[in-house]
Amino acid sequence: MMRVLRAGPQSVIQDLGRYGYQPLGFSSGGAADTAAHRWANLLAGNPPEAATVEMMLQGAEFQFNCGTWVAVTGAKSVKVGNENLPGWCAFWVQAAETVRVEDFQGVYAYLAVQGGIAVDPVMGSRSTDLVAGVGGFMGRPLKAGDDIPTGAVLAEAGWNRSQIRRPSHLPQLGTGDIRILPGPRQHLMNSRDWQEFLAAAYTVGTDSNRMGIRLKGPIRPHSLPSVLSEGMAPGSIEMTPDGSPLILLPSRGTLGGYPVIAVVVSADLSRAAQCKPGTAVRFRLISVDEARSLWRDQMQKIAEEAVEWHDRCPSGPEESHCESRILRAPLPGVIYFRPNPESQPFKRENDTLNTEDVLALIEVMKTFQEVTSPVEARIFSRYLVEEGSVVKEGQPIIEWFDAETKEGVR
Amino acid sequence: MKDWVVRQSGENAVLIELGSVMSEEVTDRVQAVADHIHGHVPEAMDVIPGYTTVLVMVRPGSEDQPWDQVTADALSAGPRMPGSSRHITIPVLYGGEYGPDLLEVASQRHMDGADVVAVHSQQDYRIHCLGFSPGFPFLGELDPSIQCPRRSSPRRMVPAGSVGIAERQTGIYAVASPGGWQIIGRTPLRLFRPEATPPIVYQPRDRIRFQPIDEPTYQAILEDETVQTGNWPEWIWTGGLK
Repeated sequence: MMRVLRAGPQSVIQDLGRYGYQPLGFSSGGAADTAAHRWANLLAGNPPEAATVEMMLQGAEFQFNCGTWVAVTGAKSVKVGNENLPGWCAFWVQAAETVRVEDFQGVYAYLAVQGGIAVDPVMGSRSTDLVAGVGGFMGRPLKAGDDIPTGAVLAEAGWNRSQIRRPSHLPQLGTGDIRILPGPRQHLMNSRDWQEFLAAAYTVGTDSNRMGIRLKGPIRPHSLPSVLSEGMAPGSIEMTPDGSPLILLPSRGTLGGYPVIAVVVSADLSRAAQCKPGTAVRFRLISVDEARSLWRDQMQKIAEEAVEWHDRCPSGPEESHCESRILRAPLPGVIYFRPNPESQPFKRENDTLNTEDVLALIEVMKTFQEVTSPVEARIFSRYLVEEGSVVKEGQPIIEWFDAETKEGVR
Repeated sequence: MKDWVVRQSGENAVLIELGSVMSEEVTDRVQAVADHIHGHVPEAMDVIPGYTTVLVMVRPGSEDQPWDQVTADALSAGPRMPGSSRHITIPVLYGGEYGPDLLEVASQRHMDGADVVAVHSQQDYRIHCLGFSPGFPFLGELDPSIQCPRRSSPRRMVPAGSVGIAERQTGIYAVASPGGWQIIGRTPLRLFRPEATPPIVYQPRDRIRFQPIDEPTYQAILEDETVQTGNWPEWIWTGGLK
């Protein structure tokens, strides 16, 4: 069993999806980044279809009630007890030890436990369907205090804590263009709009979520008709009349009415899902044969991967978002300085900052994320950005003083 | 003569287009092809029927299928249940807090709320397809006298069981979700039963009729354990509450 200590913005149990119910309107769903999900299972010694915990954007923390193997992918670092370990590895966790996932590479990170997350399947899958409110843990995102059942651990004697399991080759986190195929309604967009679409740099919007990625771009297609509601495959790019394409992820609605002008190839869909709000995206057309061979290569790499043993050596000191009296935005989004429009700001000049004090809210991917104080007994100075503005990840947002320094400033 | 188009939708899906307008005939063709592929093409992971199309998702890495031949075979075989779609009566409490838009629809159409209810519940509707949200049936075709555009701004949450209308269609929110349709009533039936097989009872081509009920009946059905947890009562299949 595993207890959720901190759930982060949104943690949900996922597997490879729920099939056979899409004619009734239930999306196939499953992990948004199936590649990272497969890697986590591989490292933990599970089959690919075992259920994992999918975490979003930042810190989630778990505690285990018995020793087990745990693997984390999609994050640069993971804190086990007081020890920092790199991401993309599996490690032995002792009873009562905590595992904290931090420093996400993209939007989603995955935690696999040996034996898998052992919730009961609903309609053939353990994945959480947030729209239908079924699957996963009680059909909802995880909350602090939830006790999540985990599968049986193969109790082999002599596990020691000196080693971790890592892949012999770290998976290449692809960069570059998102590769696409022409979609079933490609003919509804004229050739000039197509040229512009392929030349344009799009930006991932903050209103993206597990269902789809909303893109903002420079073109407005000419007179694009809508279609009678029709089935939407994962990866479909729906073009809206105002020129904001939507890339549909596996948890999309099954039917849609905007024309699908292109479809992201399967091998690139996980990478697309990991694009944080603010990321620039370009598209490149390839052939069906290329798309299939890219997918085969990706699956082959995971299948052939030999998991190797490495000496367990802690990674470097934990990176902090806090440097030289400036707090930087931990994620991109719209920033607010009060819990609701009628309230007073969280902090005013000369207020004391204590660890975990809420200083701001960032609205991203349809959730509000609290920005908390990383420091204890310091003095708040000021907000460095306009309330309601869009901040980038890493942008300075708050200034504070060391208590002694403040005296000097006066 | 071939009167359909097969369109590639990514490397693992095809969209088979079987008509261009919403009609019962096209719905029959769509369902014939969906049923046939579901039963005869093991490479198909899932089949999603739309108004005029069937989306087939195939297993990654499987061989290309001769979709034109598959479609031709399906159309000559016809739907799995030729002609005999089922008839389902859905009890609905119209108006008030259960149908907050009933009076708005009535005033737009210069009618009484009771007239809207009478027109809405006087005919059978065909299920064209299920989607938008889990278990949401797209039903056609609404009598022109009560057709009404969507709300100018969608509701953040529409309760499960809500019955809505929009343009030429009516439908039921089987699970709570955001929604922009005009909500005119609510059924006390539990439509989505994740523990049952299938979890949604109705399917495309079935016919649905709405039966107006009063508040005591609504409460009685809501509190009836067998209706809410077990099988739906017999009267649902036999023309409704007497």
